[in-house]
Amino acid sequence: MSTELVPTKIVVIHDDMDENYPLIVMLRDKYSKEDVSLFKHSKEGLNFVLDNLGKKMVVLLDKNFKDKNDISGLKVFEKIREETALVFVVLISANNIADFSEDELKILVNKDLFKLEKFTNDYTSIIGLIEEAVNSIDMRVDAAIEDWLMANNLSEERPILITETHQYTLKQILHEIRMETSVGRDFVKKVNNLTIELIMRNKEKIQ
Amino acid sequence: MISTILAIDERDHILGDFYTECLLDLENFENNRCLIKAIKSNSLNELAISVSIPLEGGFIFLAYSHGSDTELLAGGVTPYISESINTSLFKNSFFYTCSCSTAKRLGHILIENECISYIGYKEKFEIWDYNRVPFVDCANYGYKLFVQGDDVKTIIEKMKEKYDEHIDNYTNDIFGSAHLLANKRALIALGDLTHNINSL
Repeated sequence: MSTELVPTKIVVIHDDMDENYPLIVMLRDKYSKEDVSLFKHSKEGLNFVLDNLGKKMVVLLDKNFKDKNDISGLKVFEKIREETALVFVVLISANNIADFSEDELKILVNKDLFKLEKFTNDYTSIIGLIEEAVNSIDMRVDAAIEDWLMANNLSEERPILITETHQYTLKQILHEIRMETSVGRDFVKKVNNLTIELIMRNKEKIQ
Repeated sequence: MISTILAIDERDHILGDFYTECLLDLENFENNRCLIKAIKSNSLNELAISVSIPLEGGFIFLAYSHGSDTELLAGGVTPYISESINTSLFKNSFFYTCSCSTAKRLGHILIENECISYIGYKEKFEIWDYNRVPFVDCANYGYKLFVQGDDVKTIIEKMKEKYDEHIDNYTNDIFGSAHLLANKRALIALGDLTHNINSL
């Protein structure tokens, strides 16, 4: 389960970039063309993220958009957080941190922004932050389930968790975890409990 | 022969397949101490329970169906055992169930009504269905130990060891282990822990 089988989607929401922008080219070179999506309008990017909450995602988000019809990067971040804490967001801004208002900083800290980075022509730090986010996602329980599903070639339709009132397929469990429902939280808690139990009994490597 | 009554909802649309495998395993468990009389889905109700329980002497009661804090349910809806209808019927019994949550309250009520001992779960009993065998094995193991003569305290200890054995050997399926662990932690015994089949 250590090998990543299901790639993380990189979603770039930035109005100054296009398909040939160096950062986009570098990201597609590092990941793959189909796993890096670019949106020049914040609402379109937001809709894509919200429509794909069942997938592992890192969002590289611009703070400011010139088009009056677009909403700000901060608003996009808040809208994502209204639905899930499991999408990692890297916010980039041409502004210095001193230019952020107190309220803006409160939102970013309290709603668990993954990273904040000043936008310059040196893309290595941004690519490094995205890599860090991708690695963090792959350490989560939902990512492990997704990889387990692929490794075991299990039918997506077959119920695998049977509870008192429902049967869930792996896809449905993933959805429950990523939507942070009580079923999803309970599942993650059980896996965490197992990890602690195995460590306490010196059985951390299952035979 | 000790009378053993098995209430089993093998046609339940969610857990029926699991209960059916438990039933097959119990039917294949050879012993000369107990004779199981099964009350299946098509007749699983309060009346069938009341007419099946021996008028005299101790007996074993097994329940494989949906449960809640205070009830055992047919089809997940209709109570066939609950505080308000029939908990007094289980006087002098060993009561064993893998139903959800009945150890929270129903088990205590049964003991208050002179059921000698109870083994069951204080939380949801959930099944990770990639490999069902360990869940069936753990669900039935305590009953088999009781038939073989272990007392209730020993049964709980051995059941937890059985859970650990499956947790540790659950190759390639950490999620199965996670659910076995949750079930293990929810497992408890109530009443007289020295109770064994020879005292029935």
